[in-house]
Amino acid sequence: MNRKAILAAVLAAAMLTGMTGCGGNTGSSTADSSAAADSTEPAAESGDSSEDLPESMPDDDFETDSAESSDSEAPQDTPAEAGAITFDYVLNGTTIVVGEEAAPVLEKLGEAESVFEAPSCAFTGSSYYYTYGGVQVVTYPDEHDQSLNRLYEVDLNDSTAATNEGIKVGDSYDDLIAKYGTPTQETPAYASYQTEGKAVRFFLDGDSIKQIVYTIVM
Amino acid sequence: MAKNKVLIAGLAMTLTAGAVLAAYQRLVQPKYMSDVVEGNLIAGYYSSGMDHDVLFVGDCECYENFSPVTLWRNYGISSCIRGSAQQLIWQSYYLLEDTLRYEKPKVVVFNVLSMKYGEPQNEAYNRMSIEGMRWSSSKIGNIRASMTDEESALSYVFPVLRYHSRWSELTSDDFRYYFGAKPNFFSGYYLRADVKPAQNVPNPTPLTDYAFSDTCWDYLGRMMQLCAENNIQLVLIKAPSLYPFWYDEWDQQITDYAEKYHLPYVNFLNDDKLEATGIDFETDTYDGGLHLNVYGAEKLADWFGGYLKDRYDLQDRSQEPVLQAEWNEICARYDAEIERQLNNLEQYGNVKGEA
Amino acid sequence: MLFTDSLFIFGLILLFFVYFLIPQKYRWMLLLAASIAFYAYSGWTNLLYIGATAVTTFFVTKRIEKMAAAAKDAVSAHKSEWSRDEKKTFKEAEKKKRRRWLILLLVFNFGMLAVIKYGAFTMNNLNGIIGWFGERGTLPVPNFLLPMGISFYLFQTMGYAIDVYREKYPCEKNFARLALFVSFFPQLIQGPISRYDDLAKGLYAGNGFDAERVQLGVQRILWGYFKKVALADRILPAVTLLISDPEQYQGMYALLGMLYYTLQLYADFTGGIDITIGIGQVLGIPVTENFQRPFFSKNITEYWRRWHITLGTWFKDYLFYPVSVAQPMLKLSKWSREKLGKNIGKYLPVYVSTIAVWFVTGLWHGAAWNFIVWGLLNAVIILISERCTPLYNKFHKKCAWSNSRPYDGFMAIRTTLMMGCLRMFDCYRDVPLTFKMFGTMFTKWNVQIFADGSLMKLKLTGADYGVLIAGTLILFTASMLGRKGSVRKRVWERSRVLSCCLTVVLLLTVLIFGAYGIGYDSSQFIYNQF
Repeated sequence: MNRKAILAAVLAAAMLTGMTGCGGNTGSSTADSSAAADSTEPAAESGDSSEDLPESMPDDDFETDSAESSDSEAPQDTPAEAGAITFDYVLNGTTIVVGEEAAPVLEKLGEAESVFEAPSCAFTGSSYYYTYGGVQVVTYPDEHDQSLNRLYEVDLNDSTAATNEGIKVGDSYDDLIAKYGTPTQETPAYASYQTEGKAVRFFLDGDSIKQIVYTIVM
Repeated sequence: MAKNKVLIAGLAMTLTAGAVLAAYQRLVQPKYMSDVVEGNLIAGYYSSGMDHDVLFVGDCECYENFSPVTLWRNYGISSCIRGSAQQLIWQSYYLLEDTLRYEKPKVVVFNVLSMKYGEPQNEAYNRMSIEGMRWSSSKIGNIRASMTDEESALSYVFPVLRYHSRWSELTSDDFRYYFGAKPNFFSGYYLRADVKPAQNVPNPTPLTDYAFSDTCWDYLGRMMQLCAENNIQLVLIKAPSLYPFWYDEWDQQITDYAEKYHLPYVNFLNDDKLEATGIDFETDTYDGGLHLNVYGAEKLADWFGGYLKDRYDLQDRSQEPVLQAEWNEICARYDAEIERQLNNLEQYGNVKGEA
Repeated sequence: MLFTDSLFIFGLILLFFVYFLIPQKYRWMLLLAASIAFYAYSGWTNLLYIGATAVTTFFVTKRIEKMAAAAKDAVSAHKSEWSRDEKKTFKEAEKKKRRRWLILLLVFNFGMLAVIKYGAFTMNNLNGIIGWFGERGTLPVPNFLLPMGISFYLFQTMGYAIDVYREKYPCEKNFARLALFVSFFPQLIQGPISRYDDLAKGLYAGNGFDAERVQLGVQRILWGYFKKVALADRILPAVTLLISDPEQYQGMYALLGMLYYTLQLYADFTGGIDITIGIGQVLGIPVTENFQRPFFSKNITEYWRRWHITLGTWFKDYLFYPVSVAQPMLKLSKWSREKLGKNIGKYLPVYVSTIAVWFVTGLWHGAAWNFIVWGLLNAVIILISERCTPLYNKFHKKCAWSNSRPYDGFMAIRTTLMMGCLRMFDCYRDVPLTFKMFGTMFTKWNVQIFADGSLMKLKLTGADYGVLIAGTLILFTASMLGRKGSVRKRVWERSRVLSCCLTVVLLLTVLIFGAYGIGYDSSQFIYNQF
């Protein structure tokens, strides 16, 4: 039997768009899918990209030759740090892996300070927003099983919460680069670090970070 | 002779198979009566025998947030809504085109939320927006624009190809409404009488890109042009829904566009509008701020009716017999539905009356 | 393009109409055009491969035939002058020259296949071997897109060339006609591997419209679609699930996976062949049968005479037979008889050629060790059962009850299960895993899954099971009825109206109970990657 064909079929099925309606988290998923389209490119073709994008994925295991970098802002010690970027946020000792089933994680996190439910239009599934202090955890209904919720996004909204690498809202862009290295993708509005299916994004207000988002990338 | 026999046999086989399939198709097509009632919104339009001065096109923010009954009762404005769940902008455009085949409203109101979707999204929603349309070039256009990669146009022409497996999921509704649906809506309005206050509305999650897609701008342009050609006033609105988020960056783009083309744009989320309409998210929403309930929809319609009447010279037509007859029927159903839902709420704690 | 693509179905209906509307002598050209269009749809570059095969075969076969004719002329011209030995020597020499051309052709074409299909496999293995010596495997691993149906059309065409060399029939002088034989589109997806002398006549004749033939052909096509979309595609998600997670699905799940896969493969492959033969029948082109109720076989040797028949006969005629009578083999035979005694000496050459053929058969199915081991195991079982034949005969003579119907049934089930177990090599990632999963069927006795609702969690609903069980029963009944000749033909002979009803019912069954459209992964026919 052709295992490749089967695998392809399974993957194709898995990639179908979710059934989240006008009430779902599709507001951000639109942007995410476009961002994914943009940013997979430099990741895949980092070698010959003419853009001023970095020469390696941040999650590469080996060190890169920073001398090649055209970005003068990237300090020499960047790549070693970059190798250690984590894409799973740890909140109160609980690791939140975006894309995974939400229920076990939510149970471990305990009762949220507040919950907001956003039902899908016409259908049964809902997106949920759970708030724990300055951290907001967003879930979305699985495309095949509306009763199964998956983790979609973790937002760090104020300076009370820091990333695993110690970056928090209010820190400067330079702090970020020092800790995280060259972003996979960036604009004046944000810097994004990406790995397969996941990203951590730092939204900027001028030179300082105003919001941090761990998210799935479709 | 032999040739004729073969022809007749071939024809007989084709016709028999066709007839059985047509009958079967009717059975397995979703009836949208007890569940996902929104699936019947689009088809409902064709059963109306009257004309409308105001046409709303858009998604749930249209068909749940404005009460046409209030427009009729308070201003004598005959209006209808052509909206469906997550209705994308090209679907709104083709529904507008389709409606213009039957009538020429004076004002077309378009809710701009769907500007955020630049690509086909979801098959289930497509079905609900498209299948209710009568066949026309607009429907074909809608199919072509809406299809996701997994869909085939053929299954819109022959829905049996899509629903053939539903034989195992048939319910009593499929037999009861075999010959037609019963009206569930009020000139395209989906009525909810329950209340769930908006609480803990989350922080908007930031986007990496706020620019609307070229496709959306293109359709908005086409909508504007179609209205201009038919001498119709196009009004852009953003309904007062707290979620999905309506970003300032998005609002600015629409504001700029409206200014550039001299289109009116009413953002009901703005504080002054919220104050003027009197929308109270403690009492006027049934799902925590996503959609308005009937009390909110009536408030919104009341204010908006005044706004439209003043600006676009809409006559009070409450004395016209044809309109009167149909609107009286709609109003009676509307009042009965509110009562039914309130009774259910009292008895079962939900509007559907589920034990 | 697959048989289940709507484009294919529309194209086919259109083709049927146009075929019978145009004059008879142009019909084969239409088929050629359709075949090229069909093939081009799968990728323009693929046309290069099939084109190369057609062109080389055309020129070489013509050349061989010309040489043979010239040699004959020379012999008859020197009839009186040459002695018998001289004639023989001349003939041999000429034959050798022709053989060189044939070998050139075979090497070119099979070389193409080897590089495209087996290049990566070979390089990976070489890298592995280099690895044993402590080096890091550094040979480049090529990555070609396998042209659709290459294993089918290539074998068919090479069979033709060998037959021309053997002077079984004259070669085709018209390139376009040969190209049609090479590329006849219904055969490109799953075979069968036809013979020129069987296929060609129907292919070029442009037979007229015959109501009975068309009706029965359409029924055969619909029957194929029934197997394919109502059964094979319906059970595929369960098969995929069961084999995708060997950690979770062990023991009875492995057994279930094996049974499901048996049904899936059978329905898919025979369904595809039904469609191909049905298309041929509508067009008036007899296509060779590829199956003969294989699951009714009493042993594996018989099974292989009834399953994928055209592949088996191809290997027999063009590989097993030549290998058996080849010089080295005869030498081996002689040597072994002298050195190893009569008994072993007699069998050794047969064993060697059997194993060689099954090694290649395994390789034909795919460039992976799984398939090679699968092929070799087939050979082992066949050889063992052959050696045991005297024992069996004794047993049947002694025990009268073993010659009864129920015992036949038992043997058929035994064969089916045995083939199912062998086919587990298709499913799992590698050889050790396959053995492990096979082992769990005996060590992990989780029979509770048949009762505790686990079966409903395999991407199959109650309705799916209903269709699958009913469909399997229909398949079985049809096979039983089919032993006395074509069911469709018998219905037609009884009543034309009944036959028309059968067509309509088949069509409706496929459309209503087929697993197609959104919600089902439209699977590729399993055999079209080979």
